[in-house]
Amino acid sequence: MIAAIESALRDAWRQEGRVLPRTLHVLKLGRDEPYAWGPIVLALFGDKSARPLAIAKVARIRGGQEVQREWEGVELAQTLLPRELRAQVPQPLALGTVNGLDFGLWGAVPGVKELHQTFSLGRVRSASSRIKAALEWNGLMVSATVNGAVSAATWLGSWDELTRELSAAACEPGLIESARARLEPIWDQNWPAALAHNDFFAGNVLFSRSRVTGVVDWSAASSRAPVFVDRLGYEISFSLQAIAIGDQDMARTAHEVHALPAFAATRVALRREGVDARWGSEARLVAALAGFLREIRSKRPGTVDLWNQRPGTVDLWNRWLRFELASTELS
Amino acid sequence: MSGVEAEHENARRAARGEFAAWACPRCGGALAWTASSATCTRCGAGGSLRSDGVYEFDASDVYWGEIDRELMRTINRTARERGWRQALESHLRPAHPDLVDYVDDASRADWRVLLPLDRARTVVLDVGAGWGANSFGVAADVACVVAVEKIGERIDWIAARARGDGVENLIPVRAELQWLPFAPGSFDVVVANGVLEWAGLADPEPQAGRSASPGVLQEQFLRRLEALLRPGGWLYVGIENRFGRMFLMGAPDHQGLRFTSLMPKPVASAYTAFRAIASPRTHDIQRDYRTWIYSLSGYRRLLENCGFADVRAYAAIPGYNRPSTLVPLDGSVGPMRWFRNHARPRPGVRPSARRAVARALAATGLEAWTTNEYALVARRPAA
Repeated sequence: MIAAIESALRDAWRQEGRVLPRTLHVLKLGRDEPYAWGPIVLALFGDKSARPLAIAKVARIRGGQEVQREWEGVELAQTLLPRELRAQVPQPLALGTVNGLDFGLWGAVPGVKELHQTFSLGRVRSASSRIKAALEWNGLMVSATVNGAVSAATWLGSWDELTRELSAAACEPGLIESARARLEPIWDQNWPAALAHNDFFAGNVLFSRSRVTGVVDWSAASSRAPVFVDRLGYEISFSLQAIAIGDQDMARTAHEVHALPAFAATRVALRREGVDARWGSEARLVAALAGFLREIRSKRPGTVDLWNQRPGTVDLWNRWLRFELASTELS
Repeated sequence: MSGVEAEHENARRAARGEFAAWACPRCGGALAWTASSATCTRCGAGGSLRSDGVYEFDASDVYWGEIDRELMRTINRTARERGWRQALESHLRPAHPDLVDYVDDASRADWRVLLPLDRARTVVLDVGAGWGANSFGVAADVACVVAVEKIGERIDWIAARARGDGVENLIPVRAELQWLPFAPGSFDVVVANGVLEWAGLADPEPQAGRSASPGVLQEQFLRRLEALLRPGGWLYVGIENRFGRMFLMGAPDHQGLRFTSLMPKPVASAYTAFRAIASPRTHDIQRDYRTWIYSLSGYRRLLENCGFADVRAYAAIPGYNRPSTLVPLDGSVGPMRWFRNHARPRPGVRPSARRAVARALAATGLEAWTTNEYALVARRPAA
């Protein structure tokens, strides 16, 4: 299969008038702990010195939607973003099938992921300059693509639908009821809308020193989502990861992450954009719920169904949602 | 189902139904099949087709495996009665939670990305299939996969799982690895995942009571596999590196002893005889070092000596049974350097020092020689 994909890469480069050097490929099979599911195989093509040239995502099973979603998400970003931000989004090269499996090819963006993409609390503090850079990049993306308004109902769906989805994914019934009671009154309220990555966390941002050089994995992107979703989701992701790898004191961890200057500055920026993003605010709860829904929806039928085999993740989100619902006075 | 999909499904059903590459495992003669048995037209040896769909060419009462025999039988019984997933959850997970992924994770067969597979035509032989994770993992991508396993309880498991999931293009075959019941040139791909090291364990035909050297038996085994491939067909081998860091750090070898893979073979044999411990896998007392593994150049030499060409080596990280990353080891240290520079540090003692060592090994090319496990692909030369 890899030879066929390499051939497609060669064709794509030729169409752009470039000659592909002899490539070597590293295959990432998506089994990294603690996030061990992997609906795709990632092939990284580099030259002899391992300078990244392109990446391919190959679906593990036929009919999986991941590659198509990634393709559409990247195209969305490439279409909506201004040139200076587009450079940090992978360039789509080719979409095809090999032996019935979908594959997509994108140009590689430079930079490295934050090596500690599963952060302990100490690491969160030490990565503050990169966190700031990532949040600023996302702020620029939002400013460049802000367009009208959107309600949570339009963006995430009706509460009846959400209740069914969350219940099916083993979200605790009491939590669903509490979240619904808190959020249903504002569910049709309009928020400023912009392009959203929707899976904006440390593992999807590439850096050179403290400069953002790439933002990858656009499979969950949407053109009109509330402007706060990525930036609040980014903060929540750090707390979740710290808890996932063993920080037991959820309140202390969340509090310390929340208090980092980069996140405090983001709250100020969001206030200017018309969003109250303080602890216990509806916006924050919407962002947390959206994170849970993203996990559920990325494991829909037609994808590799590992969700039910990873109850730890569901437990984690249940714990987090319970904590968010109970916390109203942290800010 | 689209027209193309339907065409593929028909081809797969036909491949299973018309798999006709049988040959006498003893003499290579043609097999005459009745509804449920086969007899060699030349030497009279034979096999049978069981009611559960298993083609049986070996009925010996031997057992070895990761779990004890009684538990394996209980799991099989539950798999037949209540389904294989329930069997894993009820019996395997409570006793061996670490084995569940090993048994059922389809991504264990991700080596398939390395090979040119065709759902309408490719016929795969998975030799030493074990619990069948590789066979089931690749079944959806090929026309037919033949899973060969000697241990009765394991082939029963494969048959139960195939029936339970309706995997129609998987043929379970019980046979001795050195006596494979197939005609030459029958397969497009042969998979030997964690098998080559065991091929020297026992000589099925000892001469005057003396077993041939493990190296000779391994060569014989590889030559047979080469003959079973169609010209241009591919072999995949997953195996440990003799000088892998885990062995340098004292991990036990396949027979349960430390540092034997690093020793010259006669010294390793003498040491094995001296220690005389039971193998953790076969549970027999071992008095000879027979599970030979090799260095990277050793594997290249072995494969080329056995007629293979185009040998390509990958570091299987963290190992070939649970690969997270395959890094090419041919031609350039670039990919390994890239991988080590980007790899997420693993928790443990002195992570910075360990990362520095790993990066130095990658930059100097030593990583290729000290990585723990390899994924190797090699091709039978086209005619």
